[in-house]
Amino acid sequence: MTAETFRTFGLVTVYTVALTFLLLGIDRLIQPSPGLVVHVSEGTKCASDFREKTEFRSCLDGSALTRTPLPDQSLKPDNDTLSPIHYRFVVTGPLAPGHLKAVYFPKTTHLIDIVLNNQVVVSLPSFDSASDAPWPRPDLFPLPPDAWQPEINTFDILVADNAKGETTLAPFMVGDLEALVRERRTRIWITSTLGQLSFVLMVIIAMSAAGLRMARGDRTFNWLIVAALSGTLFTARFAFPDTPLPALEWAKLSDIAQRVFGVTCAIFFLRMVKVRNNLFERSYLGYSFITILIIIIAPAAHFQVLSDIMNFGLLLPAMIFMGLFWMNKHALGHANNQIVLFFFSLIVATGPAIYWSSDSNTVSLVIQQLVPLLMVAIAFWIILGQVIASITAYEQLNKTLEHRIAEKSNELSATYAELAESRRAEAVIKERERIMMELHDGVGGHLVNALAYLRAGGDDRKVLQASLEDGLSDLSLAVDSLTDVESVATLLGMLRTRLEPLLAANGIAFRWNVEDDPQVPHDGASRNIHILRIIQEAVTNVIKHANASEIEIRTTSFSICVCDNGRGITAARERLKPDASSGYGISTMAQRARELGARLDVQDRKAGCCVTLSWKRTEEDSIRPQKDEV
Amino acid sequence: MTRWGASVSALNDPHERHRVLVVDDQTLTAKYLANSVVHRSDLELVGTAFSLAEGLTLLNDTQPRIVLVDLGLPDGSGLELLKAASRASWPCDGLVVTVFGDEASVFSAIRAGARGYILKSSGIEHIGQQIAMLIEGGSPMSPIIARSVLSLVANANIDPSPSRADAVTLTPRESEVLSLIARGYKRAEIATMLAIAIGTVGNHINSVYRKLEVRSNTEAVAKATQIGVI
Repeated sequence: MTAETFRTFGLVTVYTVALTFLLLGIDRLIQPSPGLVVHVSEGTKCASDFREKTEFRSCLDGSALTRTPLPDQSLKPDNDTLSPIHYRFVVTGPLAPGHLKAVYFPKTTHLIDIVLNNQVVVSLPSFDSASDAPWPRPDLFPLPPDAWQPEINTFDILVADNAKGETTLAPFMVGDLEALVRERRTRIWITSTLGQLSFVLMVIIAMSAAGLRMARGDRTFNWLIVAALSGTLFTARFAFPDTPLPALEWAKLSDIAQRVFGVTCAIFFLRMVKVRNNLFERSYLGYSFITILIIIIAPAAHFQVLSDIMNFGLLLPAMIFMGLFWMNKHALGHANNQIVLFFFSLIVATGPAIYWSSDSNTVSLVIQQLVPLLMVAIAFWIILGQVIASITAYEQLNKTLEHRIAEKSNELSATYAELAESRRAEAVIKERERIMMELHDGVGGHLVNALAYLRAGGDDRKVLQASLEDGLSDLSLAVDSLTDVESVATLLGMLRTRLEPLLAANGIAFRWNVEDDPQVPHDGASRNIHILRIIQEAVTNVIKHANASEIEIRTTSFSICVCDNGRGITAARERLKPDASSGYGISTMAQRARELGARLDVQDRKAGCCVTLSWKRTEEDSIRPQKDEV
Repeated sequence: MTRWGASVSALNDPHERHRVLVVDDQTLTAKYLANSVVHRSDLELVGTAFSLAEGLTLLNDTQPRIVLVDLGLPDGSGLELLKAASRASWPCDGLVVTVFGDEASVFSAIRAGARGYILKSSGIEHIGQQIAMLIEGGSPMSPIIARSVLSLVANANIDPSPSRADAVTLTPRESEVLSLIARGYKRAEIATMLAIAIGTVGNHINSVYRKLEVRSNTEAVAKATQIGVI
C-alpha cells in the first residue's frame, strides 16, 4: 500500500465518519414542536402468544410484560400466520388539558387496535384488515376528549406482526392535534414530492445515458442506464403511493433495486475516471448478487438481522470505490473534484446515520431520500465534465486547425501573388512584343520603303511623301493605342481626326454615329491597335476602291460598322485582277478580329458595303434595348 | 477680364493682322510653321525662335497675339513659354505644336495655359486655318483630351478635396459638349445635335480650357517675374 493510497483511504474514512456524525447531530437537533408533543420511545410488551383478538385482554391482565425500547428490534416474525403483538405505553407529561389530543405514528405499523385508558380509539375487526400501504406512511388518530387524563395516560396498542422489518413499531408521538397534523402533512409532502422529483430525474438520466450511449458508442453508459432504471423502481415506491403492489413486495423490490443501483453506479463512475478494476467490480457484483438472493429467499424470521449485516457489509465496497475514484479523479477534467468526493461520502454516511438515528422524525427519512438525488447530481456533474472536456478539446482542435488554415492560406496567397506577378510580367512582355511588331511592320516598313526608293534613285516627291505620311499615320495609330483612355469611342474619334484630312482630300465625308461606347471584352494597347487597324483598313478600302462619297461609322455597345455608299465589294472585286480576289486585307482584318474574340462580316448593301466588327452580347446588353437596331 | 475683352475687340477689327510667334528648335519644322503663317493674309509672322530663352525674349519684345510652342526645347520646357503667354499683359494665346496631339504632351500644355494644339504633320493650309480659328474663338480639342478632362472631373468628384490644385468643375452643357467631342463628333455636328450655334460650342470649349489652366502655380509666376514678362 503506497502512501498515496493510504492517504486517500484515510481521507475517505474521515469524510464518511464525519458526515455520519453530522447527519446524526442534525437528526438529534431537529425535534418537532417541543412542549406540545411527547415522544414515546419506550414501553412494555406482552410476551405470551395469542392467536385471536379476544385473547388480547387476557394478555394484558397477565404479569408477563417485558420492558421494550422502540423501535422494537427483537421481533421474531412468523412468516405463516399473523401473530399480533401487544404493547403498553404509559405517558406522563406536562401537556395542558383542554386541547384536542392525538396519537401520531411517523411510520405506520400494521396497527389493529389502539386503546387509551381502557377506551377504544381505533379498532379493526380482524387481523387481516390491517393497512397494507406500499411504504410506511404516517398515521394520525384523534383521541376521545373524555378519555384523556391530565397526568397519567396508558396506551394499549395491538400490532399485526406479519412481515419483515416494516412492521417494527417506531417511536411515536402523543400531543396537540394541530401540531401533529402539521407534522404529518410535512412528512407526506416531502416524501412523495422528493420521490416524484427523484423518479423524473432518474428517467431523464436514463434517457440521456441512452442518448450518449448511441451518440458516442461508449458501452460505459450501459451501467448508467441500468442504474437509472433501477433508480426509477425504488423512487416509484414513494412517488406513486397508490400502486396496487403490496407493501412486502414493494419493500423487497425496492431493496433489490437499491442494490443494483449501488453497484452499477459504482462501476459507471469508476469507468468514467478510466478505472477498470476487475477484482473490485466482480467482488462488488458478487456481493450484491448474494444480498439480492437473501432478500428474495431468506426466511422472514432471520431477514432483519441478515439485512442489517449485508447493509453494513456495503460500507467496505463503498469505501474502496471512493478511494479508487479519488485516486483517479484527474480523469474527470473538472477543476473542483472535492465536491464529488463530498457527495459520495454523504451518500455512504446516510447508511449508518439512518441505522442509528431515532427514526422518529422527518429528518432521517429526508436524508434517505436524498441519496438518489445526490447520485443524480454526481452523474450530471461528471457527464457535464466530460462534455466540457470534449468541447474544450474540440475548440482546441478548431484553433489548431484555424491556425494551420491561416498558415496554408498565407502560403497559398503568397504563391498566387508570385504567380500573378509572373503572369503580369509575362503579359507585359507579350504586349510589348505585339506593339514592337506593329511598329516594326508599320512605321519601320514605310521608312524602309522610302529609303529603298531613294537608294534606287527614285526622285518622285509624291511617292516619298506618301510613304512618310503612311509611316507617321501608323505611328499616330500606335501612340493613340498606348493611351490610358479605355473608351473605344474615343479611339474611333482619334482615328477620325487622323483620317479626316485624307477623306477630305478624296472628297469623302464621315457620317458619324458613335452613340454607344462598344464594350470590348479585352483591354490594353494591342486591343486598341487591332480595332484601329481594322477600322482604318476598312476606311482606306473605301477610299481606294469603293468610289463612295460618304462613310458612316456606327457603333452599338457590341459592334462597330463601317458602311459606305459606293459601288459595293462585289463590283469592286470585279475590277481587280483574279489573283487578288481575296484582297483588301480582309483576311488580315479577320485575323485581328479573331484575336479580339470578335466577328468580322463584310456585306454588300443596296448601295455600298458594310464591314461589321461585332462581339457576343453579354446578358446585360441583351436586356438593354438597342435603338440602333430599330 | 480685360484680356478677353481685348481679344474680342481685336476680333472686331477686320484690318488688323494677327501677330504670330513660332518657337521650335527643329529648323525645318520651324520654317514650315512660319511658312503656314506667311501664307495667310490675316496673319503676320513676328519672329521665329529656336530656344526657350530666345522665345521668352521675343515674346516680351514682339507681344504677339499667338505663339506656337514646341515643348521639347534645348534649354527648357516649352511649358514655361506657354505659362508666360497666358500671363502676358496683352491678349496672347499659346498653341502647343506636337507630332501626335497625344494626351501626355497636350494635356500638360493645356494645364500650363495652352489654348489648343497644332499637329506638325498637318498641311500648311490647315495649320493656318487652325490659327485663324483659334482667334475667332474656336480652340481645337481632340477626343482624347476631352475624355481626359471628363475623367479628371469624375476623379475630382470621387475625391472632392478642396486642396486639390487640379480640381475642375464643369457645367452640364460643357460636360455634354466634351462627351460628344470624346466620341469623335466635330464642332458643326455638335452644334446641330445640341441645337446651338457653332460659336457657342467654341465658347464652351474655351471655357473648359480656361478652367483647366492651373493659375495658382507659383513656380510659373516666379519664373515669369524673373524673366520680366510680368
